[in-house]
Amino acid sequence: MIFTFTAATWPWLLRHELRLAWRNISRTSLWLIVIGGGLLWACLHLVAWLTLSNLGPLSGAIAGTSSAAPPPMATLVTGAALWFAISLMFSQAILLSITALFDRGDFDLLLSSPMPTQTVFIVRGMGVAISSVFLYLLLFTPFAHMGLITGHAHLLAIYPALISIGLFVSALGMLLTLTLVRVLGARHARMVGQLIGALVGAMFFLASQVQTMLSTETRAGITSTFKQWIAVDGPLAPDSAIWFPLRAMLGEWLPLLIVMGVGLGGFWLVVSLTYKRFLAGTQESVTGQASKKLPAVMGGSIKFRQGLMMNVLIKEWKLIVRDPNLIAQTFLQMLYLLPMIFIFFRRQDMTLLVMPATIMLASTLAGSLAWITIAAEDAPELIGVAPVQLARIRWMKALAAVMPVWILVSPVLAYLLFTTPLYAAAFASFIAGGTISAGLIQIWYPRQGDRKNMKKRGQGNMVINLIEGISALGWAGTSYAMLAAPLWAPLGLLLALTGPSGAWLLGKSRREQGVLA
Amino acid sequence: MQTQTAAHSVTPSATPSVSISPEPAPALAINGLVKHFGGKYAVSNLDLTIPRGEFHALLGPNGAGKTTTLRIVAGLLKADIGTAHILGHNIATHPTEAKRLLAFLPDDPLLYGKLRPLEYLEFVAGLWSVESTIAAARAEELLRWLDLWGNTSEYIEGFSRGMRQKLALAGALIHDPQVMILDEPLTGLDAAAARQVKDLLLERVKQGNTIVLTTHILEMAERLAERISIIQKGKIIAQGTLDELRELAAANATPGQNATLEDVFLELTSQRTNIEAASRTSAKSEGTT
Repeated sequence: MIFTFTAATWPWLLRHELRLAWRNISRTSLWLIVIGGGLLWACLHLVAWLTLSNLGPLSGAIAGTSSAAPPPMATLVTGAALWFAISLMFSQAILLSITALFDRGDFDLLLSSPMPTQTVFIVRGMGVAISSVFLYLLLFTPFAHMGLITGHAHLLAIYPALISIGLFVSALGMLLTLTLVRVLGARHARMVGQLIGALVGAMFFLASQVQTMLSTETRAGITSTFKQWIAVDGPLAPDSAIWFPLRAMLGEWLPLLIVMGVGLGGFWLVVSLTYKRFLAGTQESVTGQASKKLPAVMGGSIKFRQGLMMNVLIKEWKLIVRDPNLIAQTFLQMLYLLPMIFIFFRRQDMTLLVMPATIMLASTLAGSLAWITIAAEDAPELIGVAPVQLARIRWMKALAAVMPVWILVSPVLAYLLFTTPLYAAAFASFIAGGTISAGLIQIWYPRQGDRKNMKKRGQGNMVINLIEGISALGWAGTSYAMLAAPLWAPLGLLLALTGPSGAWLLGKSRREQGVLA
Repeated sequence: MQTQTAAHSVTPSATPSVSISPEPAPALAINGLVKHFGGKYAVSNLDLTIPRGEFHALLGPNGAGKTTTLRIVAGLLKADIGTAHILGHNIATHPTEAKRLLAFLPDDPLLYGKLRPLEYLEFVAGLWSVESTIAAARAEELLRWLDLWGNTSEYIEGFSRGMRQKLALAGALIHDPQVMILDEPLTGLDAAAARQVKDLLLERVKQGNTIVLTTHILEMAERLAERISIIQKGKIIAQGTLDELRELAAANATPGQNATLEDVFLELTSQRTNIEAASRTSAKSEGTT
């Protein structure tokens, strides 16, 4: 059924926004989403049915047949999970607000139309809210549906509660973005907003992983403190206001009304109070008023650097350093990787842990930077028409990618040099192996990317991404095996060399075709 | 398989062989160039010779093969068959030597948004190994000439389309190329900037350099180019000075001695017939309503 709306009204514009969002998904991804999402949704219904049929201690509270509050630990776990979801939603809302404010090229068209600016802003906000909350509706609504079957109809409150939460976090995301524009100007606001969005998303995950790095005694101390907090009258007791979102979703009337009031009211307030700022921020970002101005260069005072190598290195480093979003995304990968490495090598002594972990991180970072410098070249045609062999420039670009990594890991090398010189030699060799392999993969399998899509590079060529991962793991594994189980070291090395050799074989035809990048 | 038909060449010289010619090699010599994408021929047995010091315009309807030809000449695409020589250097076998003498300005030049103009020019000069003091002086001269000197402290990402085009042109000139290949060089430029660029190009030709450009602004080709080649369906269908092309078109049909390049172009590419047919159809339908 096709809905028709009166032109230039907010539902009409919202439909347009959603259609654009839908069409931004590639055909392959669309099928994956439809099939994978459908299967997941069906499985979640099963999980929801099984959970709701065997609620045990929670059933009384959830079914509303018991006046007893749910057990504190159950509230803590489910409530914390919901707050985790809300934090991710908020992170998503910030990033989407930035896109809505800065990256969409249709403002000139929309704002020059007779449609009120406020309507455009409301619809942008609703678009952000829908995009932020969609995944969580997919995850939580099976519980509402199965609640109907299993006698927990009040779980239908998941719908209004979740939508209200989505509207509220979207309003917060937009407010934060607009405040940043006011305080920092459009250019810096975009960068800081992206950083905050990325860090908020990573925060809960990192916090959850901190315990893996703590000693048993510290963990026992934290658990004991939490037990006191979740007890009756504690700050995290089940009847605390902090669990209102959870209680609203479980169908408790008062929390539900409060959550809906705060969500809808907050969204309305932000939209009605800040749309003028939205207009100003948009104009600023479109006209580039916030661009940084340096003092003008004096005539005859300019000096150019001599030599191709230095020019390539400096150019690549400038382009990386001047794109904080790129740095944030690159280092965020490292942040996500760090706890996993710690978990993997956990019960070992510090040297055993630090060496492979650093090699893994360094190789991954070198891979990301090499992708930025080689694949995500902004002006491939300029490089293509230059009287220099493409391969030579790629080598220089790879060097530009690995050198910062070498500088970053040098403190670890210095530490090992003073404590265990033999380990230092091994560490230096494996770091060189890991980072150079990462560069070689980009050189030998030329592909073209866009640095704006750094985050999506993992969705590109699956085989080459897998090869990159295997190579980094191989070098880290070899170093670990050298220290802990030398007999396994050749296998690790074999794995490590699979990366560059695989890229060399797979990329042969691409190199012959002279794929620019 | 494409059938080959001879171009209506009005110039006595056809396609001199670069290797056996005792004279200095032409600025650009393209012989039997073929390029296809999938089953479609973008360039089909194209021959073109442009002597040194000539301002040459390459015209053709959309999709005629102009950009593909220029990209092959610039070394950005590999030809399926045929050769392209820049001042005697084969672009496929001796790309470094050929590219050293060449500048290529694509129709939508991609620049580095996070660099400033001087940093961009410094990098380009590095690519062409221009001596740093010469490059710095030339960069200043070019930026002043193109009215970009006041913008040296800004990132390129904040530049307008016209400013980007001018900066790309400065980048193309930083190594003082002997042959310039320009794909729609006036795109996005205002009248004053377009005039500046035209003057600059004429000055380059006066100094003995060669310019090959494609443009849809036929008035520009008419005023600047010494010779014009018209390309259609991947082949050169006509070549010569404007007067020679007029004669050729007059022999075919309507355009007379005062015909504009537009008239000649439409006649030779058979588009006039289509336009007139469309006008007649439109008039007829208006009459019936």
